[in-house]
Amino acid sequence: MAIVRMKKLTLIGLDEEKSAVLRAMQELGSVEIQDISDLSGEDIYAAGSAHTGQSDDIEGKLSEVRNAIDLLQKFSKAKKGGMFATRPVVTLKELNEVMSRQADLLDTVAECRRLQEKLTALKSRRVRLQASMDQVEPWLDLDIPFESIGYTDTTNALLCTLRKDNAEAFTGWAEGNELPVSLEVVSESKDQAYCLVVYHTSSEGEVLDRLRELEYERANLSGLKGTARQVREAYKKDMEAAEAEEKLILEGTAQLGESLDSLKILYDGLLVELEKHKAAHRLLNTGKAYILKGWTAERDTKALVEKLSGVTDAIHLTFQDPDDDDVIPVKLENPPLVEPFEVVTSLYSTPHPKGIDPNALMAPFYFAIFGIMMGDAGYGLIMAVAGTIFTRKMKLKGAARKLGLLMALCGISTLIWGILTGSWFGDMGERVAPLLGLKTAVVWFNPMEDPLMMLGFCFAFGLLHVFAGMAAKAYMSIRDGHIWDAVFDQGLWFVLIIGLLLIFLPATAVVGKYVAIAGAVGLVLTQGRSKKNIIAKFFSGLLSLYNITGIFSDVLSYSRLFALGLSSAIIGMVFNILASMLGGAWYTFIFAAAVFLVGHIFNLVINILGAFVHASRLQYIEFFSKFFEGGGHAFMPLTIKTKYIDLTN
Amino acid sequence: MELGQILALIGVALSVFVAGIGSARGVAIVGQAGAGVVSEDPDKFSQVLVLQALPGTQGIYGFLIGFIILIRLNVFGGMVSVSPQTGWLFLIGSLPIAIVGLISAILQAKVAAAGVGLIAKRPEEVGKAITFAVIVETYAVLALLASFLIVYFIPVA
Repeated sequence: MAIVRMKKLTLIGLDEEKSAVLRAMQELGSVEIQDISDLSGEDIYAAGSAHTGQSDDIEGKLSEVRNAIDLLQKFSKAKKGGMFATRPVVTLKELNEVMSRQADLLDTVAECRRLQEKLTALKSRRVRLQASMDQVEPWLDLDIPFESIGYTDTTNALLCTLRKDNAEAFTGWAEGNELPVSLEVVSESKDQAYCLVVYHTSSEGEVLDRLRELEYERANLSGLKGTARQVREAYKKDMEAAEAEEKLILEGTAQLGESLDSLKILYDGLLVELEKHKAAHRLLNTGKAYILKGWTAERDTKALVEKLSGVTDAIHLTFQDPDDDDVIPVKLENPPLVEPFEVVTSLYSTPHPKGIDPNALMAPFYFAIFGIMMGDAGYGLIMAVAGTIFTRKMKLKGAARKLGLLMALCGISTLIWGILTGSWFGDMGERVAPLLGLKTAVVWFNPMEDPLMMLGFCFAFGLLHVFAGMAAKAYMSIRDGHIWDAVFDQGLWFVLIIGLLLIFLPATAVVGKYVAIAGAVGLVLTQGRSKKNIIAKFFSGLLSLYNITGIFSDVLSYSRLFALGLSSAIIGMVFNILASMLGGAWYTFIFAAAVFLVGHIFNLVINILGAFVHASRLQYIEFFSKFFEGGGHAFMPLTIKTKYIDLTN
Repeated sequence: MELGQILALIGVALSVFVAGIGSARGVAIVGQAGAGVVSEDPDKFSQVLVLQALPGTQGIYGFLIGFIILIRLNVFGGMVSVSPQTGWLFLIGSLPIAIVGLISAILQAKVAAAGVGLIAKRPEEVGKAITFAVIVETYAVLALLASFLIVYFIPVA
């Protein structure tokens, strides 16, 4: 359907022009370069190693610039864009101008690195000082200088911590044994006592043994001079000095902030360079010339030739149709309304290059399924508006843009189903309708009041979806010239299932019976056709009827449409009830509004997640299993990829 | 309070707390696995969060059934009288989502936690990791429907 036809491309050119050619391709963004660097035979030797060194170099620069940007973004006073910040648009000319100032900017980067290193050093100094201050803190009430605590001629003094009860136990023990020792508690924390112990050296052994038994811990304050207060003052001064220095450095950083924008452009410029060098690794190099092999879309070939002829005429460029054993990259092309749904398929698998692109067929089903699962007009409105605004404002690109648009589209579907079933923010519609003079907000039917009707609808919808999948398979068989496969493998199943359904309608019961029998007999006769032996043919044919259970369970699986719709409707209703319970006075109204708001936002988020994964699952398991061939590899052209800026011509 | 009302309210409690336990356990299992991956690569947070949220739905389903029973009993506007037999029916109706919710949430969490390991190595395969986990949830969805149909169609005086 919409898999773009690809051409194989071979380009031979001169080494000195390689960079310019690659850059031109990069700007065009329509060529995927195949890796043929390991094909170097005896005649041609690879000069690829030089490139490796170059791209390592660029990668090194990139990480330094990145660090500098992070630092400046953190500390410079440059305004922050907030949630909806868009990336600045930069022209190629501006980019080249910035790249020509590379050396200067790299000096700035080096300066940033120095500042960063200083900041790190200062930070660890402050941490160390803080730790030392904490250590001295408990001893502040001790007015003996630390250096004079220790041995005298006849006594010794030591500082230690003990558990509070152990400190008391020690005093008791000393008094009981009438030993020449005193324990003074300098300060206490929650369960520790900080103690000064003074004893006569004659009883040193006993005292230390006892302290050990009580698990004392010597305070580690060696080398400190002066009283605790003096020591702390000194630390404080150090700390202030460190803080002042840090402030100075931060001011320096803030001044560098004006080069932030240029650094961002530099980063992206380097990124583009890197991408180009990586592409150069994939070529086959001789030192003087190179061979490039790759893929491009058939309709892009003309533009490519034009662009390259603008760069040089010393190239030889040929296009070929792909061979049967080529691994063709898959590029999809769909109308704008279908394109967002490509996200769903790509999460599963890229289509096989010789299969079909399922997106156009899948999109309407996904659209409807998501809407039925969310099933609330209020939520749908929010999704559609938020999805559109978000995608526009943020100038999203690629998969993120598709996802944003997918949400907007699914919001529309949710809105439609919500209007049909009269669901507005849970049961708000039903609550408000009488005030507007309406009997009910429901346009079609309310699944909550008629669950059996809803279940029936889900199964009918599921059958339609499964049939669509089988029809796609039939289409593929016919396309490949296997018309009978389509008739036997899908057509007969259609006959059988439709016959079975007709049996349930009284008017067509008899006809249905014969239709079903015809289908079943047909299946028994044809499903074993690949077997050689007639008995094996019959039994595989008979056994194939068992597949009816597969289709049956596939269809039953669509009951989740109802279940998830139920969950969003009821949880929404719960919050409405909670809000209305708060009453109507003006001061409770504020709380009621808060409950309403927070509750519905919660419900919205949870149900978007639920509807997204379950709608996807129905595509993957129930729908794709019927026909979809995955395993392709997505087309990844050499392009300009940027992180901070949007590049234009 | 009548026996019937008590039985029906036990049904409410069962569907809410048994399925809730399952989901709480489930999101905890995935959250633990996820924290490990995020510690290596904080950019994977959103992908991991989606996987973590998956086993959370069973608790919501349980709550939903409990709430429908409350509405059927008209708890918010003076409770209706319920015969013991009807009470038993409500209790039975709460069992599918309670039991299947409990077990499927934990099993789904194990699949999702394995999926977290998958995206740690191959973040581009997040769609497959989610699909594996969602397949487990099918049975919680079926249980939710069964519970809903039972408690919805039980006649109440």
